[in-house]
Amino acid sequence: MTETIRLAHGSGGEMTSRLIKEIFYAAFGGDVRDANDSAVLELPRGRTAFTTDSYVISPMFFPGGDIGKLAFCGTVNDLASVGARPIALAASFIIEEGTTFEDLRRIAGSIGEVSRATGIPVVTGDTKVVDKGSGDKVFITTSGVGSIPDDIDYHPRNIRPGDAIIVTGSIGDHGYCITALREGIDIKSAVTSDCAPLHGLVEALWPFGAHIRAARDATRGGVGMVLNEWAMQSSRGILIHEERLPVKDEVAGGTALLGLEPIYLANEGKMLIAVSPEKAAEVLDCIRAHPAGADAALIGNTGDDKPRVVLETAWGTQRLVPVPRGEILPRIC
Amino acid sequence: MNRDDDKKYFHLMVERLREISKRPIKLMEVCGTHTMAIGKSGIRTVLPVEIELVSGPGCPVCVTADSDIDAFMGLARDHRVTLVTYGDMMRVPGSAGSLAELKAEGADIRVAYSSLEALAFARSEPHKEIVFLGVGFETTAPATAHAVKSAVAEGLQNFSVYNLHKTVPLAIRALLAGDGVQIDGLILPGHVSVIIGEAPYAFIADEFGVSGAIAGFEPPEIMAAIVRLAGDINAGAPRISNIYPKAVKPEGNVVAQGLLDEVFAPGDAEWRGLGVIPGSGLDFREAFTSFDAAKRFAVERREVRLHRGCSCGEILKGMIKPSDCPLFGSLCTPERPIGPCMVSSEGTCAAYFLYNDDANIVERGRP
Repeated sequence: MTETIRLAHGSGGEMTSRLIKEIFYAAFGGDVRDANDSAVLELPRGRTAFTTDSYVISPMFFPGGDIGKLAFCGTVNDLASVGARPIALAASFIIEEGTTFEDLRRIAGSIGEVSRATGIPVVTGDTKVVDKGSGDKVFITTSGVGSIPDDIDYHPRNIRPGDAIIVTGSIGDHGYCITALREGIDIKSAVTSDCAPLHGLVEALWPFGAHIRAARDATRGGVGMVLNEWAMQSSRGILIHEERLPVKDEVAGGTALLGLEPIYLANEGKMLIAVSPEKAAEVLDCIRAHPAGADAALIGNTGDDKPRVVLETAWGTQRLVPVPRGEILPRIC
Repeated sequence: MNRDDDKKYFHLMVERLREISKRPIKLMEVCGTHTMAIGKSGIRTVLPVEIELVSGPGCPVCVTADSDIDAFMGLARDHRVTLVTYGDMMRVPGSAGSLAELKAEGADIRVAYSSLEALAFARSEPHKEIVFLGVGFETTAPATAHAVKSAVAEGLQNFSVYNLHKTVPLAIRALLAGDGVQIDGLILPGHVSVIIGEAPYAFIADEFGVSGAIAGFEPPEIMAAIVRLAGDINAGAPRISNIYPKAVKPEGNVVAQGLLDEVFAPGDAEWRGLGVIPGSGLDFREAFTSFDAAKRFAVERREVRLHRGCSCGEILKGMIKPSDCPLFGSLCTPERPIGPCMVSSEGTCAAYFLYNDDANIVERGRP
């Protein structure tokens, strides 16, 4: 019989201990005998970045990743967005009664895998079990701390007129992959979620110092949402060019069919970078030289002091890129 | 044509339009799909100042009367039926809330992409009474007719239609005949024309001296329609042109027309903003009246007073711009719409709100 999670696994007793040991310690590493109520960290001097995020994606498993990998990478990328080097993560699980051990082991396993690959440990966590119908299989909350070098300050308030806007690769892959999966569109061809950690890519930009003005991973609401936030926060207009946006052919075709726009689709492994005009070309080369940024493109520039995002279309016309409203896809991350 | 040819053609059309534009011309795109395509493509930013585009009554959601929304919702409240609707209708506010709110209160309201989905519900849930909201013009009406005929063939007793289908040409006639409406040319709806063909538009040029061009939905196709209309207007030679011949045959889709004629007969229909237009509705013929939800459930429509200040009516007639409405962007937004023009994804106000068509576009290359 398939072994499933029962309410008793969340009771705090023997079954909870077994669950933690057999699933989580097995996946993340560490010694159960060292367990305590908090992990104790030694942080480098200087500023510390601290972030948290919850993951409720449906379906839990998708081409290119699963909810575990997503929860790990999402928090790593939030740290990377402020220029931090991730030090450690926490992961909390809310598990619905009836979830199989196999699914849970697989999810914890992919967290362990990306943790080992990046060298960023999961140092603390929690599990709760809710009765059937009160959740949907597995929800994960991850938190993370990271240290920021003294000369790094990534924030949209630093954006100045004429700055270049770079996206680190093709847009909309994650959102399209999940939507296509839900709509039953056959995507065995090529498009997988772009779910990936980006802290290495951002660290490669540290030498550019204050020439890098801002960075942000373009998750829910996609590139369109981040650019609108930047326009508001920097009080600048942003002009981007439709023909420079890196969009995979399958994503372009599929979104047209579904009535969606790649610019609003979630990404889980793409960063937007605002960079000074002087260093734009050099930064773009540097990003492209990194494995996570091979398809990076300079998509536009900032300009006047009217905060809005304008798209120059392939037709040479211009239109606003409005803040996405209403129909944003639910449970995309 | 490939994309590069399309672009060349588009720019050629833009150039041509600049050459021939000498005096102010007001064109109306009748169809909501055109409204959205124009907003999204940014075509207005390359038009000469002389050319003004206004939006017409061709968005099915926008022209749905409040009283019809109330009546449809009443079916769920009073008769506990299952309502099936196209998604766009969910958020349209009637006088007592929207279908989405009614659903949140626990009513069985479902969104479908086609009338056949509604029919499938009736088939698989024989204990439930399924009422489909038949909304749309000649484009969606044949699908409703087909569903009703299938229901007859299968002997499905628990399926009916709350029928709000309308036809486009008579609305255009009412619009052109109305007071205070100044339109020089019409961009005619491509999808509707696929069904009805060219002939039903002849009166536009013959009786009103206004030119019309049946157009597709890609930017070069829309631009070609504008150039054609500007040329005709300059020449003082009104005519109806079909510049979407790859999809629209002169005679239209004869099979679909036959289906419409078999199931429906012309009836009166109430259009928001335009009032009751005789003959512009599609009533069930005698043989199919048992599928008329309004009759089956003895629905009473009650007159509803429009929200004070809501200018959907004038906007649908191209008399004012959305930004001239006192509610636009303040009390009425896509999140909290008051009039249907702000709700529909094809609505004039939603297009203006989203793409800010009035102005605001930057100097070339210098945002």
